[in-house]
Amino acid sequence: MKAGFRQRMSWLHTWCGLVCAWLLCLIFLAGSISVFRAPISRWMTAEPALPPAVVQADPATVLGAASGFLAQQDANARFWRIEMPAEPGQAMRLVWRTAANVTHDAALDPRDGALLAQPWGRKTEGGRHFMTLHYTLYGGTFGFWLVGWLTVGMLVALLTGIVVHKRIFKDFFTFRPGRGQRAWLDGHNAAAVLTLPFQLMIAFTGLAIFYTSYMPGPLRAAYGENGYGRWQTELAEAAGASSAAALPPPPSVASDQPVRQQLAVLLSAAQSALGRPARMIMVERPGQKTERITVYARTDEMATLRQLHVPTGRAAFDAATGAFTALHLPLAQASPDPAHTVLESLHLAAFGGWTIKWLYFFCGMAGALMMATGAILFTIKRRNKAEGEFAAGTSLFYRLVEAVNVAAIAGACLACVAYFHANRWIDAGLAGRDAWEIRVFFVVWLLSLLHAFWRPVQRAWVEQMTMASLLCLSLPLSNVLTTGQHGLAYAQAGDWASALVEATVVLMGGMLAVVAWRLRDGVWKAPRPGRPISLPARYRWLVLARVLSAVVGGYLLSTAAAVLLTHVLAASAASSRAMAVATTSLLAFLLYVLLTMWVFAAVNAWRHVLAVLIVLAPLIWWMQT
Amino acid sequence: MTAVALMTLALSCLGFTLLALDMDRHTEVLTGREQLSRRLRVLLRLAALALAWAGLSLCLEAWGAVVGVVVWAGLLSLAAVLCTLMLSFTPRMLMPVAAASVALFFCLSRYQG
Repeated sequence: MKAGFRQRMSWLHTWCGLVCAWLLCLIFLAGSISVFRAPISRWMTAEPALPPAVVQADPATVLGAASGFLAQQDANARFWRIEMPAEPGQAMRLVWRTAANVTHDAALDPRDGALLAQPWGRKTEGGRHFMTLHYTLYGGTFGFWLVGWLTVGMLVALLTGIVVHKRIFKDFFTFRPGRGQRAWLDGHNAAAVLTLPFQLMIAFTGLAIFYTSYMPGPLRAAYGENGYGRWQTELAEAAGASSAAALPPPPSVASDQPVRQQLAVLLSAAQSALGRPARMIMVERPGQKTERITVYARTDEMATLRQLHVPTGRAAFDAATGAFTALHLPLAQASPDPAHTVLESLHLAAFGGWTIKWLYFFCGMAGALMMATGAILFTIKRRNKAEGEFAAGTSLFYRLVEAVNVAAIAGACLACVAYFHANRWIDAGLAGRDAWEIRVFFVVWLLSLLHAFWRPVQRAWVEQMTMASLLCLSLPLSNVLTTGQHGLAYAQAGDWASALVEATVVLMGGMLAVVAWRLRDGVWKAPRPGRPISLPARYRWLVLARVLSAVVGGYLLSTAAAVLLTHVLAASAASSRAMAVATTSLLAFLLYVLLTMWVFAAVNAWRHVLAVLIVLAPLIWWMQT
Repeated sequence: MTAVALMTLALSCLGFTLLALDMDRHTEVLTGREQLSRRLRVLLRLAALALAWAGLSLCLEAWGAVVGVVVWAGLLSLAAVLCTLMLSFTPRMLMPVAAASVALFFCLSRYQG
């Protein structure tokens, strides 16, 4: 590490940025795509058109057929779910989970209640795959925490980037295209600076969604080990509003058969009480003592245009008598924790309609571009002038970075589009086909990494970009060959969601083709090993100590500070205990980022971290008791 | 909604063009003159500010206070990226496009009624 604040921040920006960018590139790509998860799921499911209707039956007959069918399947089912079609022409979906925890599904014609051919459409994770990938990387608890740490790393890289960038305003509109290092630097700066508000917002709200999971200190300190329930209750009481409404009179159900076989009566009662069409009927533990039937309302798309948060309406029924047991109206109201609710819908783009969805897609892609250009800039700088960071191992390290860059950027695009192709080419009747689609995604990503090690760097870039572009452009072809559907047919049938998914993928293919064309004749020379820098013998250990001080020490310190602040706020009556927990958990993330920067800026960081912890610990202990 | 978004985008593009006119690096490419007079530069900044304000109020009206601010911020970013791309690839086209965006704005506002 060099002397001087800006140099230290520059060092942090370079290395923190490089290490975080590899996975963040995929995380941002998946996040941007998952803005459109509903249309993507629709395209991937590829439901055929309903057969010509024979009769138009009334809802009681259709729902009777549905519940009758479900009752035959498993006597001890954990639940049944009847999903109503969102638009005319779609099938009604029946889902049930057996006592052995296996989920099955079937499709029903919503017009006459006839069972449709199996499988109806293609069983797939659809757009949800990108969302799961986005926040867990399919790594379970570890993946979840890894994404959290990468997000903190992104915030650190953004803030240090602002410190390092000397001419933010003078270079505001500057982009000098070309092949050199300057063009990459301009591109990196432009992508970051022009969308900076979005990048800061999306990183912070991403952490804030899971605030009590990532930063459980304040909650535990105030409410004990399992205090989440009590905390939520107190928050709801403090907000003074409950979405529960007065219960309407019980609907008139016939007593000669179980209530779950008369869902049409409950459905119409729920729909008139909620004032919205239903999205789904859920029967939990059918036939058992604790059976419960719930009708969920469809969210009002118009309401989400102007409001950040629209609660889901639902009505619950007693399964023995058919009387209402709870009613939650889908109206705007004070939510128990307004700050968290707002931050969550800001991140999920669950508001503002299609304008916001496209803006999020565009800004998210700009974020991915910022990380991609940053990682490439790292290698381009060193191609021009090697720095000899790893003495004899430097050349090997540079080759490693080049290969990982290819896989992290071109390989991520390739894996995403391969997932779409896998959806069409894996047989619709194959058991567990949804899991195979995801396996194809990861196998392609792994192959891209191997390919990047095997081929010369420049060839690997061109080949993978070309491949990704070809796959994007040929997606309509795969679609026609396997399902007989295509974009034009979707548009003619009024299914604009699916038509736009296909059109967007083709457009992306065009853009990737331009990138591949521009890369076509670049030459990559292995950088000469730079002049070896004389480093103190303990240098690597010093860096490791700083990283540990920042990651572990910074986390402990920010937790400690947040806990202390929670106690102070709760004791001073400046806010309720419940609100204090919410506020300090959110503040703790900001503190963590600033502490990380400080650890790398300070001359002797870990001693300070330790000293502050030693001072804070007895204080917290004293306030806790 | 789409019309309002496009109108705000047009206003923001125009605003950023005015800001670019005011910057030393871009003045010459855009106007052919070495420097603009001091008074003109102040006017440009004020006009850009007014355009940003107009875009914000359009968004607030269409989406409400909370969502409107977010939409506006996103459209500002999009406009800034568009202006940057134009300035680097087709700088001569920026002024005509800015003029066209004024026309687009008025067409859409007639259409909005």
